Amino acid sequence: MPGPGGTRTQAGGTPPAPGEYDARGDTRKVVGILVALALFIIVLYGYIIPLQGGLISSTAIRAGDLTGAEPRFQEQMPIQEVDLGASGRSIFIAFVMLTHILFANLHLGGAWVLLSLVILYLLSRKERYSRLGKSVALFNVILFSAGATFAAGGMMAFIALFPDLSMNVFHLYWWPLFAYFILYGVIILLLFTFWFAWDRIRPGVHLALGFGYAVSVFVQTVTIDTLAAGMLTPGVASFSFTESGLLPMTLDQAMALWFNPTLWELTFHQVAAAIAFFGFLITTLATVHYIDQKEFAAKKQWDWVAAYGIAWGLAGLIMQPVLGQLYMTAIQKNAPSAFMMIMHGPRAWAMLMMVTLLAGLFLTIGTYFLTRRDQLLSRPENRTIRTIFKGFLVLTAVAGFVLVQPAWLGTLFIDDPGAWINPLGGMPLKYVALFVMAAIGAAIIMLDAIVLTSEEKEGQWGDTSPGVRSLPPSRPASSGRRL
Amino acid sequence: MGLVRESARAPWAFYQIIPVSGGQAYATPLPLPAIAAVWAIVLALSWVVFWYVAKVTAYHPADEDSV
Repeated sequence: MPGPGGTRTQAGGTPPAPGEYDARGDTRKVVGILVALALFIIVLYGYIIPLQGGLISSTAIRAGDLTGAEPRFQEQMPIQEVDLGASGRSIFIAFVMLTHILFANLHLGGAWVLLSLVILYLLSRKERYSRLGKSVALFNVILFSAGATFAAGGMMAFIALFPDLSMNVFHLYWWPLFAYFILYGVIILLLFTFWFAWDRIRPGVHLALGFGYAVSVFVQTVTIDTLAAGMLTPGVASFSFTESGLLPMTLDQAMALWFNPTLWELTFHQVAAAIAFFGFLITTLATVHYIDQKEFAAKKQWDWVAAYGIAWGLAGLIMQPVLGQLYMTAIQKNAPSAFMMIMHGPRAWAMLMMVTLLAGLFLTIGTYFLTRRDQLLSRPENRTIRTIFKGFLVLTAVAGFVLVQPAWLGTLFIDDPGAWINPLGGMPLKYVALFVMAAIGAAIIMLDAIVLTSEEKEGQWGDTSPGVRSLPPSRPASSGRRL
Repeated sequence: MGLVRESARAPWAFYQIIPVSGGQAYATPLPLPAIAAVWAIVLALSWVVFWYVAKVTAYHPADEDSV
């Protein structure tokens, strides 16, 4: 709509009419977050990583230790000679296992979201819970095979490319790995029955199947994490094969190895991350459906699904700083050199990138709630909440600015002579920033769920038009521009 | 977090127990461009799969019976 008198802005655009909402502000916020992230990645890769020694391999940094190590077991065969180049084997494993993890997290996080939908449907009998539940269940049924295929492929690749390592892993972790593979069968049975018996069995039995599916995936994650966490904190300084058969060590050694010092920290951190991942994945796919679908009923459904997914994403995200802190403390205690490497050494850039992406997610969520709830927040009675949401967004941006700061530059480790210490990059300040973000996330969820009630939101689903502002009479009309 | 955890390890497959063989010839962790390339490929591939599967599995209010 042209502005009053058909005037144009300096940029050549048409200014909004007085009191009219300017949707370009929303686009600017989203573009601003993406540009900030892109700039950070450029600075990280071009400046921070080289200045923190991130391009130097651990093999080179720890060359002295590696030469002096007296391992009990090591690769004996020249198995690297497979014409895949110096990093070929590792790149292959990275590709297979990363893909597997993306699919596996559909179950680790998705199973709990699915269970919540079944429970909500049984309690409310609202069709939208059932529809989304069926969509998620079928999505997971189809993609289960993809995740399982990459898991089996990864195991085959380990055996083929790293045979001695695989042999030792199977000796040391035989029973957890055996349970891991048995659980594939249990999950197939529960998930497939859960899907094919939808609406055909008693609700209590259906709910039990869904609960069994979620718990089975969790237990399966525990079994594989005995190995994943054990590779960083094995729980023993050395071990020796004292027995033959399927348990070639004492039970005490086995327990120390399997239930190693970071097993539970890693597992719960993974579960929270998987819930966040699945929530955001639902949101992303729901927005695609929202755009694809022409019927208003469908738009209403997928608009609601996007909000439902983002609530789960935010719930998982809130837990990350707390669980991450516990995990890091356990690593510091049990593998101090690894802790030095990722927090105060040449791999700190990876942690810096992770917390920056975390900050980007929090900023995006804050922007979502501020813009998507505009119809409700623009009402006079909700102005205080709107101001609070704006304040949250500013605080999140400030916390994000703290989190992107490198702790030091110029040397491999922070304690090395000649290091330039960034006064804004210290861990105490970053802990505060992380917990501020988590607290803001929790407050946003509570405000959105309790103060802006579901009855108020019900009429808004599917209608993403902005709210109408009623300006106080004493105040001159503005362009409607928002934060 | 997986990258952070794995990149933290010293050049041992298991901390001070099973070393990565080959010494300096087989650097660990992967070089940065290789990590970035693997990430880009995996994310693009998985997104295409997620998008397509979501397209055919979604229950829309108007065509529930057609799925």
